[in-house]
Amino acid sequence: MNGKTQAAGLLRDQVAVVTGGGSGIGQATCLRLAREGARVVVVDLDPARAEETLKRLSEEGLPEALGIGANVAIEEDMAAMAQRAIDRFGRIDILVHCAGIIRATKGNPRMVAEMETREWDDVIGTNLRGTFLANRAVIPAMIRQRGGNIVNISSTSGRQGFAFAAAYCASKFGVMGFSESLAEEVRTFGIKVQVVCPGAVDTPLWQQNASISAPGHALPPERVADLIAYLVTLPPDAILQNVVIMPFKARRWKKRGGESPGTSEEHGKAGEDK
Amino acid sequence: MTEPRLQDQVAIVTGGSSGIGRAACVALAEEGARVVVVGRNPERIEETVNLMRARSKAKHDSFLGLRLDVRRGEDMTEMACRTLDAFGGIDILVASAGISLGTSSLSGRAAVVDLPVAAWDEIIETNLKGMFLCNRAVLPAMTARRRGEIVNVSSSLGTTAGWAYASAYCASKFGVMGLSEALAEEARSFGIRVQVLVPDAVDTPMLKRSHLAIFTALTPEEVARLIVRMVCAPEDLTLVDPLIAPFSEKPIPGRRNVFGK
Repeated sequence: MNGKTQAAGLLRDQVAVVTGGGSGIGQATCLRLAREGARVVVVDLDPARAEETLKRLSEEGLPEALGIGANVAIEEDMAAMAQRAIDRFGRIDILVHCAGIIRATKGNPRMVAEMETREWDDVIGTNLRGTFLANRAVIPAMIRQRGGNIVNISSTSGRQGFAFAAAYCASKFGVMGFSESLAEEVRTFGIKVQVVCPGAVDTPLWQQNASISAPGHALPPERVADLIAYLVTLPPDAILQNVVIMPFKARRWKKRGGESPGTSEEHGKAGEDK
Repeated sequence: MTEPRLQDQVAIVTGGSSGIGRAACVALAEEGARVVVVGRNPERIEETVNLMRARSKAKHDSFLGLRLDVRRGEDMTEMACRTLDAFGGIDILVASAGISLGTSSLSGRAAVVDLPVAAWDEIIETNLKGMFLCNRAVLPAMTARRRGEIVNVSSSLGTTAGWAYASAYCASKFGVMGLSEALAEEARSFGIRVQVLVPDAVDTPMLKRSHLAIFTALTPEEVARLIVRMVCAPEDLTLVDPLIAPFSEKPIPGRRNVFGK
């Protein structure tokens, strides 16, 4: 992977695929990796949003990038995404998988007892099945290259369940399990699989919550993008495991489960971890 | 070279005489910090000070070596006082002092049924009580100025399941996690950020002394790079227990899986 430490260009000539690259953490990551010299493949469900990121990249004069409108939950979309990336740039060195949702349509957090099967399927489909499909799509290229760097975005909700966010938490726990299994499988090919668990981040994801907005202390997405850049530029012999990044001002996070007397409004409701 | 990020800030590093602590001293010094090296062995403290002088552009009076024992409350009070006398403040504490075995005659690597109480006490006193005492000692100065950075060094054996024949070490490092989480909650409203670093196998004198069959280990310098990153992180965020581990293409025989939180 990398090794040279120059002030800029730690990812020069590398090709990075970023899903969910049209907004939030994904968009910040596209910009951050491109500033390190990476050629970025911006993947988003909404081609217009991918285009928006491309525009910002070119405004900064960053390396050439490719925008792809694709749904991570659709097998053919992910296969085509990897193929187009290889056709254009010849290789895939990095996958940052950011695509994720709290719920499919804007609405209030729901109890499990009232959750429609459709909502469950949507969240698991995008967050968990999408992680599988996006990862699977890029791995053959990384195996051929005998190296690669995958960062999957989970959440503090991937380490602890929160009331009224059962589908989201289940999907993000699933991302942890999937990533750990994959890491063991592909390590022999020199492919790293790392996971980032962000707490509250100020992204459009919150708009999927009808009644809850981002807390005032939510982190700018650039903070998470900086961490991702650090992960993909670590020396070849080091990895960071399941790292959690959260606002300094956030209340206690019950990472080991169970009741905590200090727990507050903050994590009591769906989606408030993002 | 980019701008130093810690110009003239005052950092105390316990366990600065070797391993991760020594690498942290050098990394902090390279970022412009004034560094107080705390350890028990005067020759090795001096070696660390000399390393910092060689690696940084700082004036010679930017570094102070203190021969003190983290297990002793009065030593830790002296650590804070002498730092304040020398540099006028305490901005950063990196608490890196720790042992995995007792002194050789009391070896802590033993089944619980065979573990001497003296070995248990030595490990708990150094790793856990020592962490409490050095943290407590710097808090008044940090509280007074409404800011401070504390990084406590735990271990992958402090966050996942315990490891056979390392009961005292595991107990001490789990204790460090509890102490640090409690303190993080207490100190946050004073602008003091308490973060815990969780290294897996690191190529240090401590690891070598443990005679474990570990074939892949991180360099202390890589761990120190993460410590500096945590200390220099924008003030709106905190990294929760980052676990930095060796990456190898070959599975490591006999090594416990550190995933599986």
